[in-house]
Amino acid sequence: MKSVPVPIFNFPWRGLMVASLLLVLFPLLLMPIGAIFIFATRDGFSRFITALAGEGAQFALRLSLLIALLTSLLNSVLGTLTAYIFSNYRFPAKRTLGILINLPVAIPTVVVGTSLLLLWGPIGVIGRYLDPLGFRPMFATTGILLAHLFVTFPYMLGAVKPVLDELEVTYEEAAYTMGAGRLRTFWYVILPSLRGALFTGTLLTFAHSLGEFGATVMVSGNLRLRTQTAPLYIFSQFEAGNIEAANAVAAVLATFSFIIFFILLRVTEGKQPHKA
Amino acid sequence: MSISLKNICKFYGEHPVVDQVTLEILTGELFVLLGASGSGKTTVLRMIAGLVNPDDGEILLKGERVNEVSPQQRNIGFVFQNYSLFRHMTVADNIGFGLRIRKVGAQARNEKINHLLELIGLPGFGDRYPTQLSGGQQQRIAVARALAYEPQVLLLDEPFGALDLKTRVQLRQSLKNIHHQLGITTVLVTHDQGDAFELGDRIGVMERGKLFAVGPPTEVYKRPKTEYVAQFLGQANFFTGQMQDDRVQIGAALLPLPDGVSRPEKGARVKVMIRPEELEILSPSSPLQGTFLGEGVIQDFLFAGSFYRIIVRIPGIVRSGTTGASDTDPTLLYGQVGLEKEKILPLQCGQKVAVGVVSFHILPYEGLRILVGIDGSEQAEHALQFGTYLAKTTQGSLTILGVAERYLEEGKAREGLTQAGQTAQKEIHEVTTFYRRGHPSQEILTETEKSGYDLVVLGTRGRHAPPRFVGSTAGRVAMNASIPTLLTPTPLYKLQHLMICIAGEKMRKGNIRFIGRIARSTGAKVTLFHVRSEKETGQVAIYLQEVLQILENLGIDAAIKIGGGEPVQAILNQAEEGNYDLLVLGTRFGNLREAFLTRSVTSEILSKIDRPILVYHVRPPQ
Repeated sequence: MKSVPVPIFNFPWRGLMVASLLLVLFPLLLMPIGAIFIFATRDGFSRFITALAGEGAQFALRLSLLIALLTSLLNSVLGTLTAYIFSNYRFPAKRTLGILINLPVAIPTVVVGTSLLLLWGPIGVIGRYLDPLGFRPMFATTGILLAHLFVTFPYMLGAVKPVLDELEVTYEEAAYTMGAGRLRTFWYVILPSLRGALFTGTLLTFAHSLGEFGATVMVSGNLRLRTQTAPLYIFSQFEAGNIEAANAVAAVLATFSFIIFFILLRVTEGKQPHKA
Repeated sequence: MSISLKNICKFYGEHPVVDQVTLEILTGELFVLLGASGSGKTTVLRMIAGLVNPDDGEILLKGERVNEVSPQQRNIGFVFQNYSLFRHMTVADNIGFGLRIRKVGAQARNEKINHLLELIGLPGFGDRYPTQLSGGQQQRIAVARALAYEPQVLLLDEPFGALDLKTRVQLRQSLKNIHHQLGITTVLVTHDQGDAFELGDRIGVMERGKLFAVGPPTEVYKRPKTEYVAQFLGQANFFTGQMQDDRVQIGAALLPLPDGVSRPEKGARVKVMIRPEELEILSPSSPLQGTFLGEGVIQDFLFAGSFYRIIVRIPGIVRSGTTGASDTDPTLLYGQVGLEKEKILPLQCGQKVAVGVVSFHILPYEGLRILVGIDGSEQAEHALQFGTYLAKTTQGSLTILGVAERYLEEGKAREGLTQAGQTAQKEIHEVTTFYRRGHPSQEILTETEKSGYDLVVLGTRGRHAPPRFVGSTAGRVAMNASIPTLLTPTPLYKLQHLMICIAGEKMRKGNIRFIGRIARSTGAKVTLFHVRSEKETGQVAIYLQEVLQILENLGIDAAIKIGGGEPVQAILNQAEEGNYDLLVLGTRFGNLREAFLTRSVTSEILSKIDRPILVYHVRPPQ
């Protein structure tokens, strides 16, 4: 900061500003986070474990983890491929496609769920013909996976594409002149340079998939022990007045998210000095 | 392994980046391609590597056509300007990459890696990562990596570009040693003539996609074929001299021709190049080793390490205009003296010195550089024909500038331009085409200001032009261009007889010689036509004789004709009577409005005649 013209007012103003910021942030952000853990363990640790050990809670958490894992794996492959194609080739409507691909960030997830239902559901545009064949992606794990892939796709692309764009062509060309074909160049030269970005992208996707609610509730049908993911379980239990069970799963989800968040923080902060 | 390029071309859009380059690189040779940025040298290198495909021509490695062979299969080593070392691999893995791809066993690979690290003087660096190395070290690793799989050719793209001078010199030596030890055919691309001189067995100089001089560095430096090449390799003074028997006259000095140079005909104009180190600068009374050029005065001197650069002015000695360096004062000559001379020659501004020429070089005669502006009209077609004819007969070059004023006309203009270029290419060797959008006269004038052209050729509608010539493209250019403008309303048959009109103004000698140059190369006869006026003195007759003498000295069949009466009518009558193919008229430079409102002789004739007219300026631009 440069010299402040009225230094007398400087000190009290700063204190006041910081205090009011905390005052706003505390009930808005900090207290709710704390509340989860406080409520989850209020009646003792054993009650917390019992709530978690319930069949529904166990299933919901496992399903959520499985879906998140599959989504991040599939999207890391799809996202890398898309980013590679986007930064290496020119094709008509590339710009338009680029915008469309990033659209899921802007669309409300409930709308995404609805549109998936309208497409793949038993009376949907495509689903209508698949239904007689016995293929019913909606109200099943496939549907949830589809919705999660759709919603998290931009996060992977956003992490990988900038790195690929910055990677100079000469690295690929150097590999070519040394005798490596396209495939081996990709495997030995490009992919290793994407390690950091892929890691970041995967974690982001994982975190988003774990917490995804809007689209999931539409496409899954919220069937207990069949398609109920952890966020849906929390919501259902809460509605049923089963606050303890809801709190326990919420605390676990929150813990997962914190871990991912801190890993991401470390990764992105650790990268800065290397780049310079 | 030998590399040969046969007429290779590469276009980006319509713009030729590499223009018919033919080159033979011998087995084991270290060849340096030298050129400014954007000259196309890197593209040539990338085409040898197979990273860019030529649009035309053939690339042969070891006598076999490789145009269709992928870079992977060409077995070449390429060192990139940014080195492109793989950052996630150790130095050893980087060097071993090509071997790993070739499925060489770990043991053999490690041996090779260690051997190479030894060769480049970085033993024990195998475990480090590229980011832990200095620029010079990275560069050496890049060279080692490109050599690991024993390629047949090593290609280097500006390998010392980003390094400081000291490292540069070290690495040059290191590269020279490696080349010496391995004897691998090497092509190096650089913009630095120091690299080229120190490393190249032979060098090639590129400009605007064309390859000019090829030869050993000393040869290209001492005996360049073009002014551009000469200047790219180092500072030089250029003079326009005239042959007098076996000596070249510059100002009042007569320089004896060096041995082994074929003697140009008597009276011929030649371009003389004298490098600063070929000028001898001594105190006035000292005996000279070379030929005395003149007595001059030191204008400035600059300390340049092992010598002083001296800028000296000699009355009566004027450098000729050099392309691209028109901003320097042509009366200043560039020389240099060694530090040891300091004792005998007091270095200060205003110091009188005797200047001698120890040696010099004569450049081949250069033809006219002609600019033709076209807009797709019939008249433009005539201009194109005339320009092509002149460029061909003077062995010069042709530049075609296509201009469209409106966006909608752009497609048509571009098409016409491409066609015009192709047609002209059949007749002349050096054709350049390019396209601009904007106001035609403005774009053409801008282009002429970039210098390098001798003449602008434009089409006009002659007698059918609007009554007031003001505003037409041709008129604007003719009045404002700093070089002569040729306006043609008709297609050209042949230039056999031309008429120089001398009315009131005197013609500059440079312009007379310029017309003479055209007349001589086309074999045309010249008639000097003078319209007598009442106020005339005897001076005019003497002047006419002088002009006649200059033309005859150039070996031209010239005659004087005298007319009388009203100048415009007299000239028009004479033009019809003699059926001349070209009229040469002078005009005052500058204000267009003034020139036409006062209805000068030139502007009136321009709108009353259907013959080609060459307009030059009586007074030079300020």
